[in-house]
Amino acid sequence: MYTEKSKKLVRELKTSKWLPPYNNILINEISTEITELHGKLLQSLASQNEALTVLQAGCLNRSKRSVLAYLNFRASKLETLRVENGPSIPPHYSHQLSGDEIDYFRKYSALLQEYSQKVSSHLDLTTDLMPPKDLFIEVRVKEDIGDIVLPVSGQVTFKKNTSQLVRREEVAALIRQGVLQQTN
Amino acid sequence: MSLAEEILQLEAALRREKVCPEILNFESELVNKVVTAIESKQKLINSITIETIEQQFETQIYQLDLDRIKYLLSNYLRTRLFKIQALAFTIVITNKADMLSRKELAFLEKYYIIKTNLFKKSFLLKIPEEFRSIDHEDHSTSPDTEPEMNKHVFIRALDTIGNCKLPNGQTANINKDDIYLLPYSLIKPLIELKKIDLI
Repeated sequence: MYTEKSKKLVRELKTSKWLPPYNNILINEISTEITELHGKLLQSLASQNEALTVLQAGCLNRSKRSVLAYLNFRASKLETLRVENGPSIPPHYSHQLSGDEIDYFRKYSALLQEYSQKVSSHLDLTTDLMPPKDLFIEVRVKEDIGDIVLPVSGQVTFKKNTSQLVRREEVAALIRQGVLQQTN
Repeated sequence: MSLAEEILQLEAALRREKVCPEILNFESELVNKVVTAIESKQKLINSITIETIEQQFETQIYQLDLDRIKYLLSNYLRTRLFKIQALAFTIVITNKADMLSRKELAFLEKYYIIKTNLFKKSFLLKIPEEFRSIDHEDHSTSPDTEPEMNKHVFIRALDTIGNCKLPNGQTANINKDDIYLLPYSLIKPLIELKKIDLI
């Protein structure tokens, strides 16, 4: 039956907590179905069978919309990931994505950065997603990252399983990546 | 206008933007003022030389206060960006671009290109050419969902409006400072006239 496959594709989005693996096979199958349907549509147009034409065009548009909705939903998830998690894709997420999607993520990331820079060099749109309460926060280090240089505090050593008092805006990205955990 | 008043206005603008289903006019004047204020304050804070504990304490309070203003501004800009992304195709098709700032417009143009490129590479190039377009005016295949214009929103009257006809046939007498829950499409013209505020 027509549009059955596209329905399946859209439903897949609900089966995963974040995103299901990119289903290239199904998208290719739907594209083939659309191409076939397009051939039939041209035939029924030639034979002036109006009812059939309307039905076939409807099926075709529906399939197309479903695939676009699938891609659009995935893209918007990637955008949220960029804002909440910073400019890198966590490794366990990148398996779920297609090459084009990873490319999209990079381009979007650059675009967001560019916009943020243009508004003001003192403002990063993704630093504070929640209203800031304190200038300094206590964090617990979850992964060994060694020495890093922060813009104001200078060199800081993050050793695994230690607690430190650091400036909030400098480590916001690290907290969202899960390297540090806020404890107060 | 003092900075405190500007911040109150920015708060109100953020609230409106969060509640309203479609994109509102960009508050360019207000945003420019706040951006300038942030930049000069940040420079001021950076230039303070800390010698005593009291000075350090003082600087930290200034910095936290500034961070809160920054949060407010970036939240406003972020909320708008998310809306622009969600409604990108609708904004392009219906020519709503004059509601955006120049920077947002530049963002939208590039965003539109990378998004359509993603669609093309992943899918549209695989189907017959006549069906590749995604900019139909009738929305039949646009990937956006249209803004929900009949969504109910809370409003506060800034002025006495008088009788207002509701969709169910009843009339409501709206006085100054009254709070109502009404469909957005019904009260849209009143927002533009600044007679009511979204809350």
